[in-house]
Amino acid sequence: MVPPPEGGGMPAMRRPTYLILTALAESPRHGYGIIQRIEELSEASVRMGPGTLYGALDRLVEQGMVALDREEVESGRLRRYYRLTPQGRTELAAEVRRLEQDRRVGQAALGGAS
Amino acid sequence: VSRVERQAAFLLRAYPQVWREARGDEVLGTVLDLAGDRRWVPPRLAIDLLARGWQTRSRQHVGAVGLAAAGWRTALGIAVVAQVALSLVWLRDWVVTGTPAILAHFLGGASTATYLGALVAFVVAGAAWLGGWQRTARVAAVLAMTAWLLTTVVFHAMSNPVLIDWLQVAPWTYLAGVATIGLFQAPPTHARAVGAIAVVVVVASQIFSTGVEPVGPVGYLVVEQGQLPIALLDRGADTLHTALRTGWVALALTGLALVNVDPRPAVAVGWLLPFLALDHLYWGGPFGLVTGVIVACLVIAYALSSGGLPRTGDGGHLQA
Repeated sequence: MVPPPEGGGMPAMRRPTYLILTALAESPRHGYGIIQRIEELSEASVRMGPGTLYGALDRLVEQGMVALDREEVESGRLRRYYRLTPQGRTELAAEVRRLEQDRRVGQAALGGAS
Repeated sequence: VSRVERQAAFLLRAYPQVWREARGDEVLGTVLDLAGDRRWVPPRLAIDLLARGWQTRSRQHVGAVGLAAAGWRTALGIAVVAQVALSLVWLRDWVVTGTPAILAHFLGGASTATYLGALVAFVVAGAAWLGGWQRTARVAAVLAMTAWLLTTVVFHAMSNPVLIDWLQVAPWTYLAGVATIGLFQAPPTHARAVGAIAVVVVVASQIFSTGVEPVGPVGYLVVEQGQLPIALLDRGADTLHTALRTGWVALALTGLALVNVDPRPAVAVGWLLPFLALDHLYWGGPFGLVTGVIVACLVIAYALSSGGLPRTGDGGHLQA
């Protein structure tokens, strides 16, 4: 269970969600493009399967954080490009701030400079 | 159409038809891109598609019939499967005495496999609805329980009828596993305490009852039946407070396992219901089924009337 943050608001994101939103924040991408970009962003530590990706996309579209951008047919294959919505961008920015705050707290606890 | 495309299309059948109509072509293209020049869909992708497809189906089913109804149906379905499996064992013991050993072992083996299959299916079904470390913990619990059972088989006395002996150990293993799993599901403090107590009582009673036949109905009641309310309380608290869907299934199976697999709890119940023939109680078929269903009905009815309906919490989402 994802604990809600102090003061309410959206619960902390799981990493795959964070990575999907980050990949889409750069530019609209299709499913394969998202998977490839996530692998790059995570330095190959996250290799997302198509089932996981499209399950997450379904939910993110439903939550209004991601929207369909356009459809294309390339080499006989249907490509749907997705983009980040303003709401998704806001949530991603909030998550980045939260992670940054956690990083500072952790670093301070370890005695390092923030 | 290439071989890999046929395979991908086949794997996508794990998803509901409505989902395939909306997403199928798009996902197929992505799978083919990921497969590259391979002649087969990589196992990692195949497992991912099958698991997520089944998860989507489950969620759709729950959405269609309602959470309580889905839990109810699942519990009843698995309970019936387990009951049929167990009845085969007792049928063998009761009717097939003197038949060729190979037939007896086939019946015992088939029923044991079905029972364990139902057990694993219920835990895995729960895993599909959970996410993150809870899923990992639950899968780990399944593996631990399976390892425990297999170890028991290997080191247990292998004399005939070994499968009966094995099954008599199974409910304690099962109950300890269920209670242990309950500890991972973040129930309120008192429910966690009940789960821990259940584990201690199960282990202690198993130790004390090994090789010792309790004297009289009171002995049975103390040693064996004492576990049933604890287990039910544990499951009930878990179901009501944390609203995990598998709680319904565990609740039904706990009662069934306790009453059916080991005849001694049935003897204790028989003492409370003297108008029933004791010999009949030893045969765990209809009596166990009725008892299990009644127990499940009562607890679920209580949960519904008290407003403790399962809710779609974090555990109900995919949690990407």
